[in-house]
This record gives sequence, C-alpha cells and structure tokens, in this order.
Amino acid sequence: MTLSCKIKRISWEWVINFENVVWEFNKTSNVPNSDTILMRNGTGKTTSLKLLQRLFTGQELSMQNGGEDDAGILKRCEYKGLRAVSAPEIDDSEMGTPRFSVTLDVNGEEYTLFYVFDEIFSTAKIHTQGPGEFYDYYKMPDEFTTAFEGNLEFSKLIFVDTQTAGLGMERFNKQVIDDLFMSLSNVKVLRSARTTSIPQIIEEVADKAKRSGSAKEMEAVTQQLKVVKRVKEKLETKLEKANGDLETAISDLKTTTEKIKILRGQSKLKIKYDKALKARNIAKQRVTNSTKDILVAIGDPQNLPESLWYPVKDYYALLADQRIPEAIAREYLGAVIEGGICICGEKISPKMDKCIHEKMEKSMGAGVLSEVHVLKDLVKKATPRADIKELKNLLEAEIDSLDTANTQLSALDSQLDSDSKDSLEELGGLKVTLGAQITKLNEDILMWSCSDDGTIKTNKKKWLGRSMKSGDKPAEGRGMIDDCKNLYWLEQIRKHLSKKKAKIAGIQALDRAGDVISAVFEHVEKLVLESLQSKLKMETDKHLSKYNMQNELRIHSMDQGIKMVDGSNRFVQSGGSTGEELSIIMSLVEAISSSIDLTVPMIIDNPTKGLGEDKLEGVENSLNSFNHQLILMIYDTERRLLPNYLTEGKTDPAVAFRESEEKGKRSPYVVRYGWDIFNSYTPKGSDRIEEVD
Amino acid sequence: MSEENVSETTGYFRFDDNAKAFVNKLKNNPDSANVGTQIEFYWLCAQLGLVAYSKDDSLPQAPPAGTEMTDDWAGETRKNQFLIRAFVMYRYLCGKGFEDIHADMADDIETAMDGFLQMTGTHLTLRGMKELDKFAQKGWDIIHDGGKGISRSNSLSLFLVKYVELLSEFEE
Repeated sequence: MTLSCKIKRISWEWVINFENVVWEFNKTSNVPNSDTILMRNGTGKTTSLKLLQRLFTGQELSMQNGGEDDAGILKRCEYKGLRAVSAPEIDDSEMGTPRFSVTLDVNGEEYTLFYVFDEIFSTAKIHTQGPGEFYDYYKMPDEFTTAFEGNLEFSKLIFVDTQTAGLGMERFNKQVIDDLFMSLSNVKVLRSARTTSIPQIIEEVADKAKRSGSAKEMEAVTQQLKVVKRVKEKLETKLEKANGDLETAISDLKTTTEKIKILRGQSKLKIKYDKALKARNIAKQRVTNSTKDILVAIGDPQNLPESLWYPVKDYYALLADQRIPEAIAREYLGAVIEGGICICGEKISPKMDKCIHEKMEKSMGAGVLSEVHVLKDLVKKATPRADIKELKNLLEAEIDSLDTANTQLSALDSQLDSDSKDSLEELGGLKVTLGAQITKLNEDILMWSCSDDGTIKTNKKKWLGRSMKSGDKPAEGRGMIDDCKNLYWLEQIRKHLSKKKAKIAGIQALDRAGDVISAVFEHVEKLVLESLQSKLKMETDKHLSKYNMQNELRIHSMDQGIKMVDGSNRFVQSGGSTGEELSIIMSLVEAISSSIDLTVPMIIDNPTKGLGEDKLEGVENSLNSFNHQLILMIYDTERRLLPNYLTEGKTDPAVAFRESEEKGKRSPYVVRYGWDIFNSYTPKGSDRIEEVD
Repeated sequence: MSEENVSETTGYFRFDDNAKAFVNKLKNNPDSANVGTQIEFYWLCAQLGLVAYSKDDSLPQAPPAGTEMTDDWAGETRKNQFLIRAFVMYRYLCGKGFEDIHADMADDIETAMDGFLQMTGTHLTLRGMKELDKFAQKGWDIIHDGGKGISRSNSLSLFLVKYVELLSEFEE
C-alpha cells in the first residue's frame, strides 16, 4: 500500500463558534512539515479534532446513534458564535449552511471531505469532492480507505487528544493495535470473508437447499440462528457504548485530577505540593513495578526458597536415577503384536503374546510417558530466576516510601483553607467514583469482548450462563443463547448451529469447504500480521531511540497492545506520561511510513495541557524530532511552554480569532498567519462553549 | 482424536468462593495492582498449600460442585504449568507412599502417574485436578485463617509481602 496524505486546509462554516473560517497549511512560509494554530481556550479545538478523527474514517454522525460520542460532538458543533450572548450580533436567519471540511493531498491529488449538518444539528452527513467529481457520500481512494475507513482507533491514534494521554495507554490497547495492523496489512478483507461472507453464503445456500432433515428441525435451527444474530447485535451495541463511556470517564478522571492539581497549585504551598506529588508519583510507580515483578517471580515454583523447592528437585532426580518410569508405551507394544506378528516379522507365540499383554496393562500411553520425561527434564534444569526474598524487601521499602509520600501530601492538604479543603474532598470523592466507574466499564468490556479461552471459562458462570452446556458444548435453546454475554462464545454457538443447519440442508460438503477456506484465510492473516508486527516493532524502536525516552524506554511487545520495557529489561509497563505517549505515537507513525509506505499527518490538541515543567522538555524533544506533517492546536498560555519548538524555522504559526471582541460589535472569526500576530495576540472575553439544551 | 484421548477426561479446577471474592476485592481497589486471572491466585494458594503440607501432612476436602473456575491454565500459570504439575505430582506420589523410591516400585509408581497425568486439557486427570484443588484450599485456609489472615490486605503489594513471609515460615 502506498499512501502519502497531507492536510492542506481545514474549513469551518457556521459550526461551533466559527462563522466562515479557512485555515491553510504552509500558507506563509516553507517550513515543510509543521504548522501551529492558536485559538483561545474554549473555542472548539477539541471538537474540531474529534470531527477530523471521524471524518477521516467515514463515520457519519447522528443523535440516534446513542452513546456519548455522536450526541456530545453534535451538541458541541451547534453554532453559538455571534448569537450566543445576551446582545447577539446576528440572528438565525443570517446563518449559512453548517459545514466542516478538510482538504487533503492524497498521493498528489486533492480531495475534500465535508461534514454537512442539518439545521438542528441532529445529523452530519459526509460529502466528498474528488479531483473531478463530487459525491454526496464518503468516497476516497482505496489506499486511503484501506488505512482509515471504519478505523476510528487509528484516526484517534494520530489525531491526538492529550486529555486521554498518560492514563494507562488506552490508545495503545490490544484492540487499537490489532485493528491498526489489520488495516495496514490489508487483511481486513480476509477476516471479513471468513467471519461474515462465507457463513452468510453457506446459510443462504442452506435455506435454498433440498433438505435431508425435517422442516421442523430446519425451522428450529433457523430461529436459533436469528437469536444469535440478535444477541450479537445487542452485545456489539453495548460494547460500543461502553467504549465511548470509558473514553469519557477517562477524560473526566483526568480533568478531575487536573482540577485537584490546580487547586493545590493555587495555594501558597505550591512548591511543597509539587515536590510531594512528584515524590508520591515516583513511589507509586515503583510499588506498581515491584508488585508486578514479585507476582511473576512468586508464581514460578523454581523461585521458591531452596529448602522448599529442592525436595521436589531431588525427587525427580531420584526418579531419573531409578529409571522410573521404565515403561514401554502401550501404543508401541500394541504395534509390536499387531496381527499376531512382531514388527520384526516373526510370528508371536501365545506365551509372548500373554507377556506383552501383561506389559500393556501396566504401561502408560506414549503421551503421558513423554510428559513425565519432560517434567523430569524441566525440574532438573530449573534454577531460580529471581530472589523472591530480595524482591519482597525491595517492595516493602517501596511501600514504606509510598506511605510516607501520602502522609506528606495529607499533611499539606490539612493546611489548606476550609473552602479549598471542601473542594478537595469533593473532587477526591468524584475521583473515587470515576475510578470505580472505569473499573466496572473495563470489566464489562472484557466480558463482552474477551477471546481468551481460559479467561472465558474462568468467568463461565457470569459470562456464559446457560449458553455453555456440560462438557463445554454450545447450547442451542433460544433462552440459553440469550444468556450469553461474550461475543467469542456467541460465535462458537453460531458456528455450531450453522454446521447443524448445513447438515439438515444436506450441504455438509460446502460447509466443510467453507471451513477449509476460512482456515487458510486465518493462517494467511496470522502470518501477515506477525510479520508486520515484528517489522514495525523493530522500526518503531529504531525511531524511538532518537526521542530521548526516560529510563531508555522501548517497545517490549505489540501482540497485547503496545507494552514498553525499560533499559534494564525488568519493568514492563503499559502506561506512560504524555511526553512518552507522544514519542511512541510519533515513532510508530514514522515506522509505518518507512516500513509500508504510508505517510499520514499528525495533529496534537493541547500538547502541554496538564503537564508539569519536568515533562515539557520531553514533549518539546518529541515535537522537534518528528519528520512528518505535524499540526499543533494550542491555546494562548501554551505559547510560552514550548519555547524551543514554537520558534521561527521550526513551525508556521497562525491564530484564529475575532478582530473585534467588544460585546454587541464582535466581528467574525478570521485566521491570520505569522509570528507577529502569534506572539502578540491576547484573548479577551470568552467563547467557551456552553452546553446547548 | 486418537484412541488414547477418548479415555481422557475434562473437568474444571474448583476454587473457594471466598478466595475468588478476595481477588475481586483487590480488583475493585483502584490503588492496587491486580492478579491477572483467578487461576494465578489459585496457584499462589496451591503453592502455599503444597509447601505447608510438609509440616502437618493434612489436606482439607476439595471445594464442592458449584465452585468451578476454569478448565485450562491461563496467564502466568500457562507458562509455569510443567513445574506446577511436577510439584503437585511429587506431593501426590509421596502421599501414595512413594516417598523413598527404588526401582522395584516402578510399576506401581507408573500406574499412579498414569492416573494422574493425561495429554489433553490441563494435562492433569480429574484426579490430578482434584488433588491440586485440595492444596489450593489448604493454601487459602492458611491465607484466610478464619478472617484473621493475610487476606485482610487491601492491596496486592501488601498481600505479596505477607505471602513471602508466610512461605518463609515453612522453611526448614
């Protein structure tokens, strides 16, 4: 796949706070890959980012879609601007058609994607202007749609909302990364063929086939398959909603954490707070890392203290010495006497036959025999990989440090004035509630989407109910299927019922052919994905090395989402600071470009939001090291935070603002380019978007 | 499926409901790290039970029907399953009177091994799984200690520190 994609223009028409505004990339200078747009806080940067994320993927918006996402975005898109104050400058009749668009250079040709909103902002339809034609739907070249269409997670990955950064690397979770690889490697079509098209064809043929089973049986299984379909749709809707809710909760949690930070930062104790918080965060991270370390070590029997494990080791050594088991496998003995003839060709006498049968009675199967040999061998080779007592002492010391840090923080909190104390208590309560909400959502998402056999069976009672029969067989009854809350198991039920239907219809041969083709597709998918994964891991690491990561952080693995490991190779982590996350995304984007010829833009909304000064340098380094198109959307106070990046020769600046902000005489939004306006612009008043009922 | 496999059995590990509730308690504490899967905690209990058995040679009943957990290894136990089987089979054989072994016991030991291991699922027969269940129950009983044990810990970090201390108590 070859895709070179750059953003040329973004236009707002009667949406959010904007009347008719166009921003163009590289308008005034020739810094080839970087532009920065400044808008004051509350103007609509994040809403614009969310529109871009969805526009790239072809996702139309509708209030009917449910969940926070569409409804929340559409609400925020409703034009407020010059009619949003007590003395509005315009009335509704002066408004034009609300549209939001992005113009792209895709492999050298110009395409514009539009969101066209209806009058009440209840839907946003997509239109496309291609090089020669206009379409009233999403119509982009194949190279573009392969990467983006329906791939919101990829879009969110490169159009970064820093609100959700630094919180457990949600943006790098397994689903995001798997989907990304799926799109990039062009194997989505294989998956869709084996999970949707082939089963559909078989079911259609089964419906039309001359039946070998009864009409009643056919009707029953057809109804059962309908229940599977209904339950699947229900679970998929719930899953989608939960993912949206999770994103919102994570963002709210970050906002709450920030509010707590601001509250503490505004007090006279700021310096002490900064110090105590830093110490607490470091202590907490250490406790987490050491806990994970000791958990892994302790679960491995070879790490047990010598006096506890050595008796086992000695026992297996003794078994080996005594040559136990000395048995010959019963399968081998069976082969020896097959047909009364020894494998050497000699006829076996009745006496020999009796002897061999006696041996067979006592012997074990070849599999068990080899298992015992493997056990003996592994126990012999087992040596401690970690000293659990040392790890325990380390963890204990780190828990003490965390306790001390928490005590220091509480002591500072108690010195706040009573109003601040109350607010802090309220925010603390909210934080706990949001934390619990996130835990619950994660549990639900796991229940609906988990595909690990062991984990599913562990949670059999709650997740599968009566939909799994004894002996782990898929249930067939409609009420039983209704009990299923796991999509993977539901697919096993569907497969089982589909086989049954094929049998009743007498099309087993076609069904088996479908199985074979699906197995081939799955195998190809696996090989392609593994190869891409290993290539991208290597390339991402190569690029990551220039980003000056803390503790020499690098990619550990990508098969369970992106996991990082530090330079000592000891601490695997799936979370990171905002700076670390940006560096990883940038490295990944560069790796994708160099490995599979796919060059895409990146947009970062509020790159410094909520960052302490110690983290700013990391973000600035990341920005300076990135080589592809990069657009920053910042608010005024961020200007001073990235002095080594927001400077001539590094980026082209622009400001979107109202030239007159006097109440009743406000002028429409305009975009002005250049360092003079960028450095001198001071926002007055507020365009903060309020919720519109 | 080979003829050998036909006779093999499938079953679920069973685990005390209170022990499962303990894992959920840790999971619901946002300030605590988590045990990856229930069976990883099950193994920590079983390991403690296997170690503690040397002191009193006693085993509780395995948990009753209705406490089924999983029929396969998952998480870290998948990686460590060979040594886990080796450990529990060692205790099982010793319990059968094969503590001091010599070659003329070979036939009987082999029969015991054959009834303990299989080649599918967890590679433990139902008997093997039940045996491990008993050790897990023993370990959990020590951890819980009638409500006074280390299961009162609210975070995994504290629990693990105390778990290592408990293990040390059984060192010779």
